[in-house]
Amino acid sequence: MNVKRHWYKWVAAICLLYVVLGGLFLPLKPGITGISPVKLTSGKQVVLKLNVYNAPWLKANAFEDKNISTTTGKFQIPSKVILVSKAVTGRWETTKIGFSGDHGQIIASLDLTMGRSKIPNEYYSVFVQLSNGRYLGMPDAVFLERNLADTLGASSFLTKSNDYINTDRENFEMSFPNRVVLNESVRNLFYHVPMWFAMLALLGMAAWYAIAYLRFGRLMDDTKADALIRVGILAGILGCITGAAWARVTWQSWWPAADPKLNGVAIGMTMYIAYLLLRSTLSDPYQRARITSVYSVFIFPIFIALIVIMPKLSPNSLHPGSGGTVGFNKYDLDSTMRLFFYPAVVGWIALFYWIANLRLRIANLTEKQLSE
Amino acid sequence: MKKTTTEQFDANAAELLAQHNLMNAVYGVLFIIFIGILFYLVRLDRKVSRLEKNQS
Repeated sequence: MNVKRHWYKWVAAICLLYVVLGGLFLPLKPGITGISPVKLTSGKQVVLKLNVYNAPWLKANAFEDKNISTTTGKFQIPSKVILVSKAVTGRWETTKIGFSGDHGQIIASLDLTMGRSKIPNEYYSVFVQLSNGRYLGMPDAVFLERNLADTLGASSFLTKSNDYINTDRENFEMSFPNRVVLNESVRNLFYHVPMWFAMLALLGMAAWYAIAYLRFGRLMDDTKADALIRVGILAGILGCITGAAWARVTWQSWWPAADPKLNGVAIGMTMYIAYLLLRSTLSDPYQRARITSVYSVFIFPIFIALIVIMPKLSPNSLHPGSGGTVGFNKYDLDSTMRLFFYPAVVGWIALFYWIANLRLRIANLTEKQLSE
Repeated sequence: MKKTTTEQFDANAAELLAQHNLMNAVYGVLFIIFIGILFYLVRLDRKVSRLEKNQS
């Protein structure tokens, strides 16, 4: 097999094998997935129940570590649960902590007395300190309200500081970050997001060939553009369906209509489906090529504006990297994610380009047969 | 019937345990992509068959 001619097929095969295997089998970092109760009242001893996913104190981890140490290695136990709020100077810490070695459950007792201190009712982030000094965190997880009877005596703050708690691991580990809400589905970054990269890449190439047709008038360029657009639309449809499935489990809706990215995509996809209709209505090959080339050169920048630029300008969006949310590249995309995300983008683009190439060769053969 | 606080607490805890394994979302997404690409390949296959038939 001629490797030079088929290089992108090799790129697609190798990248996607690596991305699918790695993306499915690498473990997720531990993380807090649930806290109960979420509404707390001050002035008394409170028992918090926390659920930790992939907890590092499970018995299974203890068996793996030959020299069990709670300060180094994989086996770590929870030593403290801390409540911190940006609006409050001071933090509450556990007076008593228990945990289960079969499930990742923590039972934490806290003495929450506000007393005479002027502490506002606030949302608190919950952190679990592990025995090696690292933290697991859940932002703004509980709401603490003053009990009307709790106005006497001193507050039960253990420490006065609310220094920034860093939950990011300082040393590199081959595992994916455990984000609140996303959990295991963070792996979809390698499968859902590259669909859109592939669509944009193919539509961009199509616009390039459409310009080439308008400049040089070779029907060959128009056929290439058409094949690329058709397979680009396939990638877009897959992006929509996979996105809907992912949104159902994380945002609780198949199609959250308020999201600017989704609205932009709906309009953009319609424009490209209109391209298919437009093309099917014209029978003269030169007229068809000229009109659809002008149309596709015209709609490509609008498509970019709708799905890339508009969501960034919009004040709120559920998608990372647009509006009020922070992009994956800012802190969500850690170094392990990068190791798989970039090959995923390259691999999926190469795969869809390969399919477009098949579509092109079929179109060329069909034309040749028709002219004979 | 009004639930006591402890009963409610246990119900919450059970709910917490049950949810939040979102691995199925990942398998679902991969399955959708696989089916989508397979569907398109079947369509291309049909086109090739038609070409072969016309040639003979």
